[in-house]
Amino acid sequence: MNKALAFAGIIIAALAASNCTAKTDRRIQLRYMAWGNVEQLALEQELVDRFNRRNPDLNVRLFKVPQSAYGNKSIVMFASRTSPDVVRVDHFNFPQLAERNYFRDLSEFTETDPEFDAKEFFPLAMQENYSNGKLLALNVLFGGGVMIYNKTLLKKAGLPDPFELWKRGEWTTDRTLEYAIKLTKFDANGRPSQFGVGFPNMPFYVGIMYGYGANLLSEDLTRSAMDTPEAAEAMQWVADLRWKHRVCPSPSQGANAAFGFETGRLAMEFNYIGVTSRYREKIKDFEWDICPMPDGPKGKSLFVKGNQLVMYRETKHPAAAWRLLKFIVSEEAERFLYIEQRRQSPTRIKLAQSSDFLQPKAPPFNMPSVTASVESGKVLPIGPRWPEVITVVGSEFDSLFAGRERDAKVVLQRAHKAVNKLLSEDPGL
Amino acid sequence: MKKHQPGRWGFIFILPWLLGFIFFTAGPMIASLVLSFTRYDLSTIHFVGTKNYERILFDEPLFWKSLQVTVTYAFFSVPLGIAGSLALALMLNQKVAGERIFRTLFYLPSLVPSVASALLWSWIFNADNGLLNYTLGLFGWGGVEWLADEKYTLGAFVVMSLWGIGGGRMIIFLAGLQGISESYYEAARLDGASAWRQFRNVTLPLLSPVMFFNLILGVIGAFQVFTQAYIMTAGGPNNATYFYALAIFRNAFEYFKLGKASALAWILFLILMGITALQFWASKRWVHYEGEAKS
Repeated sequence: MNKALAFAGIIIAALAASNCTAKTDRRIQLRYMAWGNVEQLALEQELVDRFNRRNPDLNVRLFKVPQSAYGNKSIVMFASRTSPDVVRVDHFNFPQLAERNYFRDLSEFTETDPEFDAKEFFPLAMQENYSNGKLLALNVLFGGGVMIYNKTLLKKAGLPDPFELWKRGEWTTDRTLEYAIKLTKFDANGRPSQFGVGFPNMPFYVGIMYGYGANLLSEDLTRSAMDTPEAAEAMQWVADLRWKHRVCPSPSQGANAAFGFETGRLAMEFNYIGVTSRYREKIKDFEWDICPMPDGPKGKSLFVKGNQLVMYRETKHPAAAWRLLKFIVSEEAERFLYIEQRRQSPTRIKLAQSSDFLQPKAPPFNMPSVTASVESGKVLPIGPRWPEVITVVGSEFDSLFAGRERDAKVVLQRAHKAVNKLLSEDPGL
Repeated sequence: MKKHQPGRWGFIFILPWLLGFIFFTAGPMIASLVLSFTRYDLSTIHFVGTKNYERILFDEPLFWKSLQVTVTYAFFSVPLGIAGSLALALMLNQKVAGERIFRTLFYLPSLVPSVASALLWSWIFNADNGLLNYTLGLFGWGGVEWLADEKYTLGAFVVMSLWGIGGGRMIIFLAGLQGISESYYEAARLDGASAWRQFRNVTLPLLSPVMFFNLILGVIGAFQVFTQAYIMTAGGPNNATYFYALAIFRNAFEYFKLGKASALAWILFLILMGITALQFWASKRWVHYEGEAKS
């Protein structure tokens, strides 16, 4: 009996103590949700720690969700009104979620906060944050795709540096193909031992389309734009890399990173600058650098895409949440994320054009390749129905990318019809 | 005052389960039935009558595609799985040294989480470096793009489903086999029956209720395949692995069409009810219960 009483006493004391602790912590509690690989999440935590140190009246907790579950988790949390106060959303999902009114309009803060000036950011970076004329987010991890190339292999093959060609306006899709052909090697059994270029998956093939003067969707995103000869030419170029010229790995050859760039068996690849932190760490036995996406016959292939930092509409602490949002796009945070760690491009013009960003001390050195996209790239055709559109497009393009259908025109006609049918239907059914 | 109220206590004891069933099973089921007649995108809801059902049945090629994929998969994977589990159970029912170790070893693969086994099979099916193509290559075959060529992908999923033959289904068969009285076999042997005749005329008929049970669960399970398709192929290539459960998931959580997803779920429920009813009807012809007289 005495033991039972003592046990109950301990429990009550522990509960009272925890209650006292909660009551004495008068800081406003905020939750910030993000995803990423181990390195990215460590950087997010570092940002949160810095913010907490500078703002003793607030306590932000980083809510980490694995990437594979992030989309569904965020949707369920928004819908069930249990969302964290600040959430990072992939732009692929942003317009769809924005339509459902989950995000708070930030104009009330941006227009009244003297410390915030939208003109300090790239117009393209701000453009992605709007939905139906409302500013619902700030852009982070923003930038375009680049090409990463193995300088050692190119030098061995006697090929001029692509970045130098780009500066002269000579880095084109034709030249990329020529390089890829020269850089693809086979062993004595006829099996590929080195590939010229990695396959340009989504959204890189949309960039190639831009270079050919084509697009997936119309400007207003209400219908397909894939029925043009330019779109067919662009996608034929993409598919031919793999199935006609055989200069990039097939899906199975590329599986399990057998021809990953780090292996030194892939001469060039389409990727984001964010991947280079891993390359800096892993690649020790060859030189490498970056250059912009190659120009197509009708212009530039540069595209941009970011993540949106949003404030949950029903946050209980909007002013505090705004301070966190503002901090994550502040000069200090961008300098840390994009100049020290080079996760993507700064969204702040001054930082992106600073010598600290453009003249780094470690590879990649050709940083104007990144700035080129954020200055003159094109946003991707991502609207509220993007997940459905890309599923339809993807299932048609599968047959082109897997080599079952070699004629891009046939595939694009099918995709064009399917997307138009989809977009003409009631979006809720 | 009554001293004993067993009925009341019984009710109190089952109350936790009953409440769980009402709030977490029956409640959501009724809610989903109501939702299936609405256009619901997690923020707004409108009654649309039977439009979701009309759209799915008459204007949604992907519904028929997902149904075709799932039925084809079930048609091959369920009989093969049952045959495999039965064969394994027969082998593990032998009185040999270390039989318990063998049973444990064969059961182990079914304990591997489905995500991990999906990744493992991705490596096995890799066309260039995979174990399957390597083994086939030793016999002069191979080079098949198991997960990238729509001709083979569903077949690969059927093969992959055999990974679970040593799991719960095999245990149920084993229990069924051990429930068959040795006296039947003794009588058969006295009559000069061969091992095959004993299997055909004693084991199979007496095991048929267990087989029937496994068949029903197997079909229901085959219609619910999701994780492997979601992880390994995302429904591709060209929708060759667009399983029904994946269609429900995509409509609900990627396209925000929860009304339509609910309608899809109810159509699946009706399909499974129909198939199960058919199985019960057909079972009269091949399922034998001990002591039951068959005309």
